Amino acid sequence: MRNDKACEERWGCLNDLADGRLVGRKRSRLEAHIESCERCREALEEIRNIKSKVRQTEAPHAPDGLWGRCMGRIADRPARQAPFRWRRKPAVGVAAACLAAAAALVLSIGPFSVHDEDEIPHDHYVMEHAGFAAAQPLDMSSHHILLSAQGAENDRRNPDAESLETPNDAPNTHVR
Amino acid sequence: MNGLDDFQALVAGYQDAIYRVAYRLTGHPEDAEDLVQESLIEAFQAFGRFRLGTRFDHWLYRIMTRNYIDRFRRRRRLDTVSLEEVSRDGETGDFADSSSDPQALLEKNQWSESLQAALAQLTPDFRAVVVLCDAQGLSYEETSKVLGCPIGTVRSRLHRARCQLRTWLRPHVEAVGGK
Repeated sequence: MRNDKACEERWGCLNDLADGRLVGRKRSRLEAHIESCERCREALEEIRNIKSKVRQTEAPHAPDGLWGRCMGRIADRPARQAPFRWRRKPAVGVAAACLAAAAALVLSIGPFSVHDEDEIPHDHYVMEHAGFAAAQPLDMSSHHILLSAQGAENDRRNPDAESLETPNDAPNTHVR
Repeated sequence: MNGLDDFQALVAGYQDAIYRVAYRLTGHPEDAEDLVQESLIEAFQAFGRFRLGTRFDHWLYRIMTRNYIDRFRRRRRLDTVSLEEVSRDGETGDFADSSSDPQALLEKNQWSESLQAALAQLTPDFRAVVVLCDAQGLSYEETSKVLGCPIGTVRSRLHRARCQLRTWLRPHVEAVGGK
């Protein structure tokens, strides 16, 4: 008894053979098999028969006036405008939209420099500061200023003393 | 090339093939006419991108098969005549035939009906491959370009479609003696 499954696996190649796409040793082997296998021979004959019938069978004629109607519809249609490239490429469209939004934002804010008419005169700042300083004298008792004052006093008394904070032989302990 | 006259001249050279492909794909004269009209309008709108050296009929087939698969598959108006009905009723319809032998004419038209009914039962993808390869005689390479799929896909679809057609048409082949 023939191995039907093996034959069915060959039927893809039978299509290739019927279409003239099988060459060389594959073709020789398959043709040798077909000689001895009635089932595959019949399958090949069916494929060729269907191919031939599909090719030969005619379709109805086109209805009268079909081509005139088609061309009439085409001629009646308004010419379609060519689409902008950015509409066909979303990335370009998004980039263009972002640029437009950025430009609109810049224009709405205005230039970065202050207009001359809005500029506040320098003398005005000086006057303001002098008035503020007179009203609130500097507080010298704050810790930061006190430390600075003490450091300056130490330097004045013992100028040769090494700084405790940055000894020359200390390893580099900077924390990165 | 983008004028209506150029387009019309090219279409005139392939009218029969265009309608035949549309009819084989849709299985309905009315649907075939719709498909032809829509595809020609779309083709004319894209005619500015048609490059000389390209086969106009293949370019048009590509638009037609895409339209067919996209739109006609959804409409599900494809099935018309069952194979059983064809076997019972040998209506010939309005098919072109050059033969004068009544018996040959009858058998041929029976074949046309049966074949069309069998094609209608294939999925749109399978039917497109059979129509292009077997009815229009396009090579696997040409069909793959028209359908925009690999050659291996064309080959496997063709194989499976023919297997289905063989199964469905076998009773008819036996009835008419395989002519």
